[in-house]
Amino acid sequence: MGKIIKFLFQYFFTCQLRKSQVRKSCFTSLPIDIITDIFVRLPIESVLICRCVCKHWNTLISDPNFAKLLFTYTPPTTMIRHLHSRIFHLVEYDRIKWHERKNNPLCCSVFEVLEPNSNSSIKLDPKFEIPLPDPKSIQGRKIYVDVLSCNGLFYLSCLMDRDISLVCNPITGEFIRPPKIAAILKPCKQISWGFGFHPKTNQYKVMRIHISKHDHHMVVEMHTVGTSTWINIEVDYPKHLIKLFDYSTYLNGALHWIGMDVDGNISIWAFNFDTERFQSFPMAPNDQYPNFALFEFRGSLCLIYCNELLAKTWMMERYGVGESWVPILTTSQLHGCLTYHDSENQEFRIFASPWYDPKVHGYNVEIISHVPTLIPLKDIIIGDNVEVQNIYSRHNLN
Amino acid sequence: MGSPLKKIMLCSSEKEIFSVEEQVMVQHSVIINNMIEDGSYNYEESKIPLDCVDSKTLKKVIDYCTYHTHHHNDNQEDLEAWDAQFLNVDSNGLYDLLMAANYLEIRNLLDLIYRTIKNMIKGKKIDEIRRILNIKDHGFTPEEEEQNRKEYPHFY
Repeated sequence: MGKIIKFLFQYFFTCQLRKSQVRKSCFTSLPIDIITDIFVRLPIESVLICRCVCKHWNTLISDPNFAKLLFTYTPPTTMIRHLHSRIFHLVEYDRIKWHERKNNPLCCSVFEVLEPNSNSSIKLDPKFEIPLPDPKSIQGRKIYVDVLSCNGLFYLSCLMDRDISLVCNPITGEFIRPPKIAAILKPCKQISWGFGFHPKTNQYKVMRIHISKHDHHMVVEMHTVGTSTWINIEVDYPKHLIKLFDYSTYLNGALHWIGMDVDGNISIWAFNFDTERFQSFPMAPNDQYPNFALFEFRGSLCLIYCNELLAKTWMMERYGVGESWVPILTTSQLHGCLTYHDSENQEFRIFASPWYDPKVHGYNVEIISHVPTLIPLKDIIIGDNVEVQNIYSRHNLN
Repeated sequence: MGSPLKKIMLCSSEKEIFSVEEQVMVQHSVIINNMIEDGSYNYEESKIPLDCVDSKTLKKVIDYCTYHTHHHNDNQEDLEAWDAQFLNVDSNGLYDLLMAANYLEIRNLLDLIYRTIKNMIKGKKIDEIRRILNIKDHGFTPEEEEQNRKEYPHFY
C-alpha cells in the first residue's frame, strides 16, 4: 500500500516539478524520490525544520500526499506530559541517545524523561504547547485537560466543562471544534470517554458512555468528527455491566474498555464502529494483581497487571480470542512506567503502568501513545462542520 | 554473474574511460547487472556512458564497489570505519556521490549516503542545515523568510 502511494505521489510530483524548475546541482534541487527517501528517515521535528530550509523542500513537505506517505512510515511514538499540563513532549527514537542503556531495554524511568535539568540521556524535544480557550465559566481556576489520541489526532476536553473541547493535530496545531453535547441529567456512577477511528469510512469518532446509577441503563452517544451533531446509539448493551474503567484503547476499528458487572467480574468490552455493537473478551489470567490497564502494542491488544512490586504484561495474539493471551514481559515495578526498546527495529515505546504512587515517583505524568502526522485536517475530516483553525495562531482561541 | 577476470569499461562525463572488474560492478550496481544479464553490453566494443557522473565521482564509486567486493568478510566495525572515511567529503562531493549512486542504483552506497545525510540534518536548526549542506539560495522571498522566522523562531 505504502509503495503504491509512494509511486503515485512521486510520479505526480515529479511531473509538477519538471514544469516548474530548472535543475541546479545542489541539495535544494534533489530529485523527488531521493529527497523523499531521506525525509521518511528523519524524526518528525527535523521534517518540520526542513520545511523552512528551502522553498523546494517546503513545497514537497507541505504537499498532503507527502504527508500521507510519511504517515505510512511513521512508527507509533510516545507523548509525555505532566498530568493535565498543556505541554506535550514527543519522545522520538532518534532524539534519544542510547549508548548508556544499550543492554537494558527496561531501565529508563519517567523521571529521566521529564526532568530537563538532570543529566538524563533523554532530551525533552520537541515540545508542543496546546492552549485551550479560557472562557468565563473557568476563568481564574486551573484548567484540567483530558487527552485521547488516535491515528495522529488528539481529542482534548476540559474536565470541568466538557463542552470546551478540540479535535486537534498537536504537531501542526490545526484543530476543529466538536459540537456541544447534552448534559447528563440522571445520576450516574461514571462517564467514560473514547476517541477512535472507523477504518471503512475513514471517520474519527468521539464517544461518551454513561451507566445510570439506579437501573444500570447504559447511554451511548457518538459524534462523528466533522459533523455538527452527537447521536444517541441504540445498542444491545450488556445489562449487567455497571462500570467501565477509565479511558478507551483504540485498535482494529473498535474502542476497548475494561468493564465490571454486578457480580464484580471484570472483562474487556469492545465497541466496534462498523457493527456498532459491543462485544466482550475475557481478560488474561490474573494472579491476584490489584491493578490493570489496557494498551495497544504492535497491533495487538495488551493488558498489564501490577502491584507495588511486579508488573506482568500480556498480549492477545489473535484479536478477540481469549485463549490467545500470552505473557510477554514481567518486570519489577519501580518507575510507574514501562519502556520497551528494540534497537534493531529502532522501536521505542513507553507505557504507563496502572500502579503509580506520586509520593514515591515524585512526578505526576501521563503517557500517551501517539503517531505524529503532518496530514492537513481538511484532508482527513469530511463533513458539514469543518472549520479548520490553528491553535498556534493565538487569536483563534479568543 | 560475470566472471571475475572480465573487465568492463565505464565512461565518465569528461569521456575518461575506467576499466573495472565486471564482478565488482555487477555485484553492486543494479543497472550494470541488468545490462550484463540482458546481453546489451558488448565486451569488444561497448563502454557504458555515464554522462551525469564526473571522473572524480566515478573513481570514488568504483573505489567503494571494489573495496566492498573484496572486503565483505571484514568485521562490521572495520567496514564502518572505512565507510566513514570514504564519505568524509564536502557537501558538493556528497551530492555528486548521491546522484551517481542513485543513477547506477547502488543500494548499499545509497543507504550509506542516506544515513549520513540523515545524521547531518537530525537535531540541527535551519541555519545549521543550510550551512552544512551549503544551501545558499533557499528560494524563499524575503517576506516568506521573515514570516517563517517570526512563526518558528525556535527552528533557527
